[in-house]
Parts: sequence; C-alpha cells; structure tokens
Amino acid sequence: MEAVLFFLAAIGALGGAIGVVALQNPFYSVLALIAHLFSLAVLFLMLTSAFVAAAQVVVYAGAVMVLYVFVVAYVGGGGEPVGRDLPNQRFLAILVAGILFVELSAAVLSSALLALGTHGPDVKPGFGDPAAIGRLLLEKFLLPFEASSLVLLIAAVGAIVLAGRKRETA
Amino acid sequence: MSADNGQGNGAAPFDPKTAAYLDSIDVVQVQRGPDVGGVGGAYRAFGETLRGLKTTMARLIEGPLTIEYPEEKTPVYPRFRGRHKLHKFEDTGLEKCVGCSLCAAACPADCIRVVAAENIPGERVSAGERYAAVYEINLSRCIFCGYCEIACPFDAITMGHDYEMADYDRSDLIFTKEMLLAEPIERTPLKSEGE
Amino acid sequence: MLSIADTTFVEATWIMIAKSLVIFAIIFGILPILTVVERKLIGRFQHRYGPNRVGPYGLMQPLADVGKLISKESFRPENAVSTLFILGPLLPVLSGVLALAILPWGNVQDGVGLYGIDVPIGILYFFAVGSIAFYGLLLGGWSSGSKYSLLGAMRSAAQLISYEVSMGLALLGVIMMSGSLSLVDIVEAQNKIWFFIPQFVGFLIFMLAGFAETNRTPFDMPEADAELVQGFMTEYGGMRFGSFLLVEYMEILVVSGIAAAMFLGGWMGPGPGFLDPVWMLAKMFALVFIFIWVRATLPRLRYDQLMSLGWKVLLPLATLNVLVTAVLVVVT
Repeated sequence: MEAVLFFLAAIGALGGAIGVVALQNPFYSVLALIAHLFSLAVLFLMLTSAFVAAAQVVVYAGAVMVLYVFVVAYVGGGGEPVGRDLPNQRFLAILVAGILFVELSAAVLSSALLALGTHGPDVKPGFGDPAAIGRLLLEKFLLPFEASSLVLLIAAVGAIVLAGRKRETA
Repeated sequence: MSADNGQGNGAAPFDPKTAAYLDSIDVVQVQRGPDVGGVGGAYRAFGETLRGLKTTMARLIEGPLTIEYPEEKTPVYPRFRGRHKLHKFEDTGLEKCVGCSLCAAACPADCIRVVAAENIPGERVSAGERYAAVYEINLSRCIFCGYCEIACPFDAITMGHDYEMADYDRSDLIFTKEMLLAEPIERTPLKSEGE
Repeated sequence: MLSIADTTFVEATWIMIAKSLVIFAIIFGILPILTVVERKLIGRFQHRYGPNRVGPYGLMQPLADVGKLISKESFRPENAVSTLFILGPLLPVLSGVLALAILPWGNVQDGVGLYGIDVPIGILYFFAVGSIAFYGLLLGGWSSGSKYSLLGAMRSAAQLISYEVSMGLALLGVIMMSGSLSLVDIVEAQNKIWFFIPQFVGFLIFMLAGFAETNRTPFDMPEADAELVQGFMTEYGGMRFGSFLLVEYMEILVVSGIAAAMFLGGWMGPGPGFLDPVWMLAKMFALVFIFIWVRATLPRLRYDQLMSLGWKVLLPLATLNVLVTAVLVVVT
C-alpha cells in the first residue's frame, strides 16, 4: 500500500516537474506544476509530516498557484517566446544542470543511500505535528524564522510601493 | 493601449493633452465605482443587512399568500366580465334574445354573429316577434368589453364570471347559442364584501 | 501506515470503512433534501409555497430534477478542452467528499469515534481539500472555451484568494483558545462555553467568508446569472451541471459543519450520548437556514464592493480579532 502510494506520488511529482518544462502552453505548465505540488504533498504525508503536507497544499497549491493560474489565464497562452535567448544559453544550461546534478549526487550518496534496505529512522510520536513544528520555529530556529518573515515583509511592502507608484503616474 | 479604454459608458472625454499623455503610456484606465465608505460604510451596510434580514423573516412568519390555482381559484368581483351567458325567462322558458343584432352592431371586435328568424306560432323560441336562429360568439376575438351587454335591450346577454376558456383548437372557441344558453358550471368564486 | 490519523486511538479497518459508508450515505441523503428545503424556504420568504407538486410536500422534487438532468445530453462545446472539461465538475465533488471526513459527529463511543477521521492538522485539512474545489471551477471555466465561463472562473479565483485569508484568520482565534487544531479537541474545549460567544467577531467573519467560499449570495459573483449567464457553469449541461449544483450544497453543509464544530459547540447538547450526532446535525441545519435566509434577503454585491469588503474590512477585523485573542489567551 505504502509502496504503491509512494511510486504513484513519485511518478506524479516527476511527471509534473517534467511537464512544467516541456509543455508548450503556459496554462498546462501551471497545471503540471500544481500536479507536482500535490504529489509532493502526498510524499510529505508519507514522511509523517502531515502539517508540512497541508501547508504545501494550502500555501502553494491553494494560494500561490491560484495567482499563477490567474495571470496565465488572463494573459493567455501566446505562442511567441518571451524575450531573446542569452548568448551561449545552451552551454550555460548544461553547465548549471551539471553542477546541480553533482551537488544532489553528493548529498544522496553521502546520506540517504546508507539508509537503503534499513527500516529508516525511528520517529518519535508527535514528530511533525503542528505543536512540534511550532516549537521548533519559535524556540530553536527563532532567528532564521524572524529573518525570513522580515524578508517577506520587505517583499510585500515593495510590491505595494511599486503598484502604488504606477497609479500615481497614471 | 489607446486612451478610450474603459470610458465606454459616457464618461467625459479626456482633454487633448491628457489623451495624448494616456496614449504615450501603457496604462489601462480603470473605471471605479463610487467609494463604499470605509469602516463607517461597512458598519452602515451591516445594520441595513440586519434590517433586511428582519424584513424577510417577517415574510416567512406571515406565511404564503399563494392561491394554488387549479385547486383553488382567484375570486372575482361581481362585475367581472367573463364568458357571456344568454338568458331565458325563468317562468316561460322562452329565450330573451329576439335576434335584433344590436349586440353584433355594438361589438368593437366584430365577434358576434346573429341570424334572426320569425317565430312560428306553436313552437315559439323567444318572447318577441323574431328569435336568433344562429347566435355565435367567437371568443378568440372577443375582447370582453361588455358592450354587447350594454347594447342588449332585453338583458338577453350578460357577461358571466367564467374565465377558464382555454382550448386546443381555435374552432372550439366559437361558442354557439346552445353553449351560451347552457347553464354554465359556476366554478368561479366571488370576492366577499370588502375584499 | 500513513500517519495522517491520530496514532493514540486506532480503530479496526472495517469500522473505518463502515463509518465512511454511513457518513457518505447520510450526507448524500441530506443533499437532495437540502435542495428542496432551500427552494421551499426561499418560497416562504417570498410569500410562496415553493415546490409542492411532486410527491408529498414536494419532497420527490429532487428525484424529478435528477431524472431530468440525467436524461439530458452531456453537451460539450466544440472549442472546449475535453479532458479538463470533464475533470472540471469532478474535482469539486472530490473536495467536498474529502472535507466531510473531518466533521465531528461525536466523541469516541463504545470504541467508535463518531467522526470520519480525527486528523491532528484538523482544520488545515479543511483548507487543503478546499483548495482542490477551486481548481475544479477554474478548469471548468477555462476549458469551456467561452468568455463567460472564463470570466466566472477568474472572478472565483479572485474571490477565493481574497476570502480564504480572512477565513483562516477567523478560525485562528478559536484555535488559540482551544490550543488544538483537531476538531474533536476543539469541540471538547467548548465544554464550558461555546466559542460562539467569546469569538463572536470570528464567527461573523467566518460565516461571511463562508458565503464567499461557497459562492452564495451575496457573493455569488462567479455565477452571477444576470451578467455572466452562469459563470463557469455556462457551457455545462446534464449531470455535469448537476454535480456543480450538488457541490454547492455540499460546500454549504461542510462550511456549516465546520462553523458548528468550531463555534457552536459541535455535538454538545443535553441528552444521552447517542443524541450527539443529532445535535450536530441540528446546529448544521440552523446554519444552513442562515445561508438560505441571507440568500433570500441580500442582492449580489458589486465586484469592487466584494473586494474592498474582503481586504479592507474583513481582513483587518480578523487580524485584530486574532491579536486581541492572543493577548487575552496569554493573560488569562
């Protein structure tokens, strides 16, 4: 049961991610991204973190992607490519992808592969539930948490300033 | 974007300078509705909403006023002008209509057809000298003005209260003398006093 | 096993299957009745009787409606995107049924929890599955290949993001007072006083946002029949259209259920334990009545009024409510 669900979610996540890049119509790309996010949520759920899964769905699929869909559906799937290609774009893309691959391989080889064939880590009861996550955020990682909220606040204020300036000139 | 975006519904046109400026920049003009009035407006709207809810709830308590038609009929006033009736004298049983065609003459819709004939002694039909051999009202043309009733010197034709005259065929709406004379099944209730 | 359920209390699999079947059967029995009740009540609000021809008191009306809808052609416009067009009505049904699972009908009795599932993330689950419904409307509207459908879908998108925030913030006060996200725990926390009283502002905001979330008057902007024909439903016919209608009533039930559990003490009520689900149902119906009452009363808001109500009134109020509640919870 668990294995079947894992592979379904994994296929969904990978398929969605490939779809985002490969599909021509931006609307379908966004839909593929949504499918990817939902699959990720299922994976989180299987990693005993229901809260993260719910947050994933509520925040990303429920709010952020709504805005994406909003914009894409209004602007429409125009066939013309956006902007010009950078010089040496193909080379740069391969380079960046290679660096990412090396990094991920290093991470996977050094840690996760060791757990293959074992039972996996034993999870304490209460791990990943909202109370535990809240305690981590507000006690152990208070400073990074506040710093990131400050960054978000700056972004929100900046968005309002930019939007407001446009109206003044109009 | 051109400057006449968003000013379709009769807004004042921009003066040339503004129009030129609007043409030069890539901005869509947005027509805004009147301001809803911030917090005070919201408070007022909330109060008015409660008032509206009270109104509808009162209607709920009053209960339905519907007249459930096929079972229950709308009562009509005594002078309601429904389908015509021809009358007979109650004592002798003779028809009141003497075939004078005054009703046909008065009819603005020209829907009454009268063919008169002489009464033969021994088999009298009407009280007068002549009687209506044919008396037809085409109810698909009748406008229920009641002029026939007024024109009749013998009160032979009156307007009844029956208003259920729908039929599947136009020819069925031509009422003959027999149909008009027949005692109609009085199905229409009258309004009570003061209603 | 998936750890979405509370691990402290485990039921046999057959009990869970039986529970889900019972909940499913009862809710899908209530839904058709709800459509008649709504039409009859709207009628009474307007001095009319409402449907009373089919069956005793018109109770067979939904049967006639469904019969009509099923016998109709499942029409699809030529320029519609077929897969998404079919997916459109399915997703909201899925989301509604998923949301039913967390409505609490009573606490554990005789080893059976009278709820579909008691998730530790509780109310977040409601928001998570609620977001699926939105994609149904949007896909339906976009794939119909009609400007009315697209506009309706876009409006519902804007409405959803405007009101979901206030809805979440309105519930935050209750969550802080009860100290739990689980709906069962929240209902238990209302032992002394229903949160309806200390959290009255939250209740009001939640109900208002609930009207918007379920696309009901006065916020039925997405389907505004006067200007957008039927919004995202315009191109749908037959039972696909019917399932959109069904979902509307299911969402009303779910929002009423959540509100009843969060603010009106859920299953709490006098009488023996087996009456608990009845109490819950009664409270839900009281809230459904409010939904219908408001529909009979208010006209549709203009679009900018809708937006400014959501962002300029409800959101600040909800935030203020959360702040005040937080201070009070810490102080006491």
